[in-house]
Amino acid sequence: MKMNLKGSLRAKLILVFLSLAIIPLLVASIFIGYFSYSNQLNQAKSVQKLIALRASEGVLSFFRNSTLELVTLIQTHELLAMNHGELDELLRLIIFGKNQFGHEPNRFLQLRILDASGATKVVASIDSPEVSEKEWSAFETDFSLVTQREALAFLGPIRYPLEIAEPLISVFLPLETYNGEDPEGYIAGLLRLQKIWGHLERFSIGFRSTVFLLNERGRVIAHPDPSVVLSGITHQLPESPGVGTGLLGGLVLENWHTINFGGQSLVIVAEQPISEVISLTLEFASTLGAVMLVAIILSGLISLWVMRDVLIPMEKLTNAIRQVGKGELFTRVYLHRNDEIGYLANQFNEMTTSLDDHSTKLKGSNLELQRMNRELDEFSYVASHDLQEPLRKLRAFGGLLLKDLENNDRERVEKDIRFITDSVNHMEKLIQDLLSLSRSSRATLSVEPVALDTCVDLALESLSLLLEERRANVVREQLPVVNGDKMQLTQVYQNLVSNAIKYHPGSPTVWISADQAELGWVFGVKDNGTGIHPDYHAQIFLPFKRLHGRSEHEGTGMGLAICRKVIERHGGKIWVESQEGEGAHFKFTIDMKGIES
Amino acid sequence: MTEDRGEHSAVILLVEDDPGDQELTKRALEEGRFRNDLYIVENGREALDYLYREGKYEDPASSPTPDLILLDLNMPVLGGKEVLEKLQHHPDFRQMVVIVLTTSNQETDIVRSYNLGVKSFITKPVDFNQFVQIVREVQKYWFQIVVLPPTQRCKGDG
Repeated sequence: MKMNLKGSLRAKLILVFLSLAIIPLLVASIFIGYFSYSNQLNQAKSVQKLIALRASEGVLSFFRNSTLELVTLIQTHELLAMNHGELDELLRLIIFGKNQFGHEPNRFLQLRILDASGATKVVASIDSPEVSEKEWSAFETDFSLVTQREALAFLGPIRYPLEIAEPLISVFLPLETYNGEDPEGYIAGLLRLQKIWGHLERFSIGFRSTVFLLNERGRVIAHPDPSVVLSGITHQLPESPGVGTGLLGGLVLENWHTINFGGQSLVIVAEQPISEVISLTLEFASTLGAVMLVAIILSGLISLWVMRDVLIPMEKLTNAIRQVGKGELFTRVYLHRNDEIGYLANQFNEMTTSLDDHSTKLKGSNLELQRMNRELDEFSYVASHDLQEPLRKLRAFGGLLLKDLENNDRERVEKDIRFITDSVNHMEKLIQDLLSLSRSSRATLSVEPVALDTCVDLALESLSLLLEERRANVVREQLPVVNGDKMQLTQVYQNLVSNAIKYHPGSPTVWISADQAELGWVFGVKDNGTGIHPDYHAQIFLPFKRLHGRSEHEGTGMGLAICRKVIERHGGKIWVESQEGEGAHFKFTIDMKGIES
Repeated sequence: MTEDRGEHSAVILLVEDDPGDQELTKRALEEGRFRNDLYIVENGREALDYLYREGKYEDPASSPTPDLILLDLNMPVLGGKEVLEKLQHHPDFRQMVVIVLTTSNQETDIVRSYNLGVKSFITKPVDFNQFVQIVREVQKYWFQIVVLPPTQRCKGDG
């Protein structure tokens, strides 16, 4: 139970703090990351497009320049009028030498002058004549295409002759025509696409992009890495520019531009690995991760602190409540805090204090009730017993009286009647004393300042006959004025003095005194009578307890019980100090502060 | 023992503080068929003094050892229960025949619960004739049928 409560609260607190720290960060970063990603993607798309466009321009200018060189040759020389040797020299110059456009040499693998039917008149080639013829054979069919249309220059399809490990494209230009008739001959060249690779490489470097060329069927015809071209890879472009699988695998961002030149359609593709594209996003993500880690640690620390601050006091309170539940009402919780929890603890302490007080009071009154109950029990037993005694004797002597009357035994009849009378008197006395005890318990106390001397005066007055009879001597001290009931206190003195006289075989002396003790006045009534054995000091104050045989001393044993009742109702105590044969000293206190009135 | 009848009078010690009850017991024993000498003391203290032969009970002639004690419970100075306790711990009186006079069943229960070796209980007379009847029964039982320890008899004889 304990652990569950603690655990769940702890878990909740940790969750709250973590979510407070992380959820906003997470949401913000998802938004920022998404925008940054799409933004970078779009930007990269544009950049790749731009690269593709720039590369296209380069490719186009390569073709244009190459054809323009041939066009210039046609326009500046009367080619058909030149002999074989002159033509050969001219063509070689174009192939091997630097031309006026400053292009690098060896762009053409070979150049040919064809006649109107397409037959070769002159060949200039990088290779040996045999090889050159083999290479050409594939391109002869291209020529037929040229005749079907009228064009300044015509590019044939890109071919990969087996003999040489590079793609070639055929270029045909009609020699100068007159009167719009069919040209009298053509100049044909095998252009080396390899020479474009350098261009592509230039674009690739610096942009971290790869630029390559595809033909209409998707075959790679130019790539910064020649081996890619030679392995004859084809590449399927996606429907629209964007993220896709790259030429060499892996996720890339692609964009492209299609160019048409000389009847050919070429696609220039620029691709960039996606990791490059979103490098910023990745950087952002890693930064975010670090921030989140810090946030988690911070929130963890905060939640730990809050737990210490909240859960530990809660635990203390819970334990304390459990203690109270077990009945340990003195439990207190000391937290020394000024906040709500401190207030709670204070309230708890006030509650337990008040519970404690009430409980103590209840226990006290419970004990008092138990004691009273016990007393009442004893009292009713003793009372009924003592009341039965005279009744029993009345009955017995009544029976004997009848018998003795029958026997005419006068002496015994008188004896019987005396016992009967004694029993009746005893009964009467018992009932009177019972009433008196009951009165002393129940009668309303009329508390006023009472001069105890007056009480003693009244008591001695009512005992005057007895005092005279026994020639008793009373020694009196000056007594103070106390708060109390005059009649009842008089009764106390009367009972104590009459006891003192009764329990003395001869002429008694009674001392009445008052001493100022530490806690107040102690009043005393002392005699020089028979005294009381310490064993009986407690029980003489119970109703009906007499220590002496009935024959010796008259009484019902109620006098001291009445005294005790009166003194207790006056907030005081009564006791006796005595040894057998050494007289008795009864003492009592009175404390009427805060007692029933 | 049956020969005791007529030869000896039984010595009975009555421990009773109430003069009325003393008188009633005296008369009930008179009504009985057996001769008896009744000695009366008023409380437990006096009863013990009597048995131990102390103070005014010094003389064995005037204070013979009783054959039977009739003991009241509710007495001043020293009650019947305390007397029983003392007798229980005294080697000479452990076997003493004690009959307790009670006025209520509650008293009977109290003494019984202490297991003080009480031989019998007699309820104090409510009806005199009834009381006489019970006393007779007790006398018959204790002096006619029961064989008492010889030492006690001797003491009683002395």
